[in-house]
Amino acid sequence: PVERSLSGQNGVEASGIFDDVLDVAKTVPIAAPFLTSLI
Amino acid sequence: MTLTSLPVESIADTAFLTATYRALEGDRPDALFQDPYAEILAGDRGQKLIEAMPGGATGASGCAVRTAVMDELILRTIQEENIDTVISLGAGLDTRPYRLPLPSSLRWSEWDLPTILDYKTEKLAGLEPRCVLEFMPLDVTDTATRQIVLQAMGKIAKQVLVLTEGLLIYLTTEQVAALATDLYAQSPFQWWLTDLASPHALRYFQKSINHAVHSSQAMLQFAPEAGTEFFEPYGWRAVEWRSLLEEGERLQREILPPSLLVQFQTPEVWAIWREMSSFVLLQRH
Repeated sequence: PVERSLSGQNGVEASGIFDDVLDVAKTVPIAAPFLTSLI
Repeated sequence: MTLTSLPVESIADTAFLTATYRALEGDRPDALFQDPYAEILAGDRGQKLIEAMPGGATGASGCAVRTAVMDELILRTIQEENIDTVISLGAGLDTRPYRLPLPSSLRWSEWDLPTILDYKTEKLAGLEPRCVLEFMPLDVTDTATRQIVLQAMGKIAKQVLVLTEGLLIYLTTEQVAALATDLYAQSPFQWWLTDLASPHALRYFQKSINHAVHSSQAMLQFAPEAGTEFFEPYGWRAVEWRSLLEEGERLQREILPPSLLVQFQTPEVWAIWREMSSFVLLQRH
């Protein structure tokens, strides 16, 4: 166990950053671990 | 968005996929958990699904981290909060009642479609669960039936932990709101453990995996802009939040390639990635 640590707030600005990030990410299917943690 | 560009045709397929990922984790010398029944359940169908997935077995880390974190939170909550009933909605091919060190008196109720539960019953015949296990063959999104069964369980149980693992992302915002309301209507339902996608996660999946939108049972939908605050109006407050990315680092499972992690260390970008997939323990308030 670890010590307990007892979205949406980044708005439009974050969307722009995220598009840049996606351009980098697409160059390497790294989405798979994120997807398999949610389905 | 849908999973139609993946080999997944239905939500049932994802149950076989995740069972295969759990079996792969158990084969590692440094396995985070052992699921000796995952391979039995996954069968050839799960293996074929993984072979057709983008990245193949590389997706196993996400599933393994979720399983390990949820195992930890389930066991701790059961022990510390005197949970007498666990309700697993959309349980799929989960085997926790057979593999976790659970109190023998614990009642564990698994809800899923009859085809999944029938298959599970057949494959695990002869195995003894660690607790009192019952199967509820029903559609979790069938509101009328759900309310009747929840009401019946609410009259018997004293402290309930609800588990939704790999379920909410397939539901609409309205369906999750209705589910949250139905769960809150039963006072013994005190805790709710779930995974949660961010809106950025859905965009990411759309750009990197899927470029077509067709009708499919396996539609990815729920990723609330409000994050954990989405649940507050329905009576549920987040008391613990774990990021897939950070838990992956802690458990030494690669979620993002190191070459990318180096590029994503600015606070704004890191905040986006750490929120993409998370595991949340909600408490009734």
